[in-house]
Amino acid sequence: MYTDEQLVKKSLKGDVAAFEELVLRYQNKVYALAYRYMGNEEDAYDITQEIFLKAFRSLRTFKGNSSFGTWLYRVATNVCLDELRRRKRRVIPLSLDEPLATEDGDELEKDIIDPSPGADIIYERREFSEYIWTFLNQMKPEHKTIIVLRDMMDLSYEEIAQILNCSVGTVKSRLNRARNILRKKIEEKELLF
Amino acid sequence: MRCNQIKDLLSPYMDGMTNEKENRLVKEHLAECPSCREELERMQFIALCLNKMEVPPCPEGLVLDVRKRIVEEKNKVFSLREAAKPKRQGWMAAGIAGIALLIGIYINSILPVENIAFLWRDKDSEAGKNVAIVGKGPLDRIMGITGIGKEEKRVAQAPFTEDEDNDGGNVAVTDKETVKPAVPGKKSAGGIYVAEQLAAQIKVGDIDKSTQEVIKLAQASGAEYKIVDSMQPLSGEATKTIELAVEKDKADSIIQQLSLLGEVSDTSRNQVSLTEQYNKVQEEINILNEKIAQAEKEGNAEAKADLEKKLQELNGVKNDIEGKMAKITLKVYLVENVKP
Repeated sequence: MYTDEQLVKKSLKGDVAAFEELVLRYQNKVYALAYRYMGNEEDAYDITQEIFLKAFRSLRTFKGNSSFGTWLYRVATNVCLDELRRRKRRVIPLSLDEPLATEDGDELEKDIIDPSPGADIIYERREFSEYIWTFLNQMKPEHKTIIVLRDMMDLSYEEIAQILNCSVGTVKSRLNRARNILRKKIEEKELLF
Repeated sequence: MRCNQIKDLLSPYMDGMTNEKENRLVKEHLAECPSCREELERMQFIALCLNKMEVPPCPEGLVLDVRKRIVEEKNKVFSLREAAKPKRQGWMAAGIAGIALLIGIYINSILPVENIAFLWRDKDSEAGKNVAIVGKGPLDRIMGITGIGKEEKRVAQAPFTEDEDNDGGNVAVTDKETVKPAVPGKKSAGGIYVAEQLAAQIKVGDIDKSTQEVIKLAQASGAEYKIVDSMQPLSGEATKTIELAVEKDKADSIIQQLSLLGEVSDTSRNQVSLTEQYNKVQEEINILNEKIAQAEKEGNAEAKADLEKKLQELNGVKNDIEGKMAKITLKVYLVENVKP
């Protein structure tokens, strides 16, 4: 059995099968990350494909300074962040009545931002976690990222620091800030506590 | 200790990331402060809930879908459709002369350094005999100067059309002999048409500045360019991929200047075969010409005009392919050299 690093080397030489072996090894982890960012299976699957494609294209930037898994998480996080930012730009809440015209002359369905469901909906939910996730989803991509990596993916501060290319101290303070923002968001609704 | 001093420690405290002293301070404070205790409990509860969010297993077939996308992407680069409708947006050309500089680029080649040899087996002739077409371009010269690259031969597909030179058994051409590479618009010996691609990673200090420099360089050399891909600098190394389509005779000067941007590594060289596309287009052009002649003979002006319009389109496709052959694609991966 080849190590990840050996498979990367083989992939760089054009061995697609070697890259496919890497996809097999990491697909569940990457999909789990994507799902936690996107919140639904369809988007998570699309993003997972994008992540592996991006990884394939940028494979030459993997230098072995971190494990391949960490590097892949970094690529994955970047792709997810890009997607979140793209979506954020796309969503323009306006009047409910008229369809939204784009520069291309197309009409868009309006995406009205109201991700916080009412109490009745909450009790219909099987999982509180999904409810809390809707609050997480309203956060800045940077804050969402650090919570996804730590609280949902169970990664250590050191691993997160490597993925985000920052110091452990930065992870500590950013995570503290993000958790407090999330807590306050939920408290504002006065539903949980 | 005050609550606001403790609050900053609660998040690392729940992850066991506080030191001994901080631990003690937090514990002491929590014992006497119900508000901070409650805050910690809430944060722990939120984290626990998020941790328990169910994730369905990854759907089967991901590997196949990824493979399909990789293959699609590879084919897309020089597909006929792309050739027929080249994307002009974002591509610019300018006419200022470039400044040639001194330092060479280190390029590892997956193909031979001085000569590029394509070997293939001719379907129609005796097995076991190979024909080699050997080309030598400006890039080969640079790579020859640097002396880096290993002798390796690549087996290419048999040419689509028959060729006079190949009739009656293959002609063995050694590496010492040089046959000129495919001349756009003309059939070369063997009818091999290729587009050259060179890739290199350059580690730079400031990615945005270097991107601008690459663009400036492209404009000054009249090369077409586009930014293919970029990664967010927020997390991970910032990277940018820029593709330059440069005229062959300007490539060496551009490569030399690019190498001044930073540490060059991970170079590779690739050749994309356009033989099949080119021959197909040529074949269709020939058929159309015959049809036009036929229509003229029959005096069918309408059909003739229609066919001529199609011919014009096909000639456009052919020109695009020839354009690709006349140029070299330089794929530059800029990576920001992040200081620790």
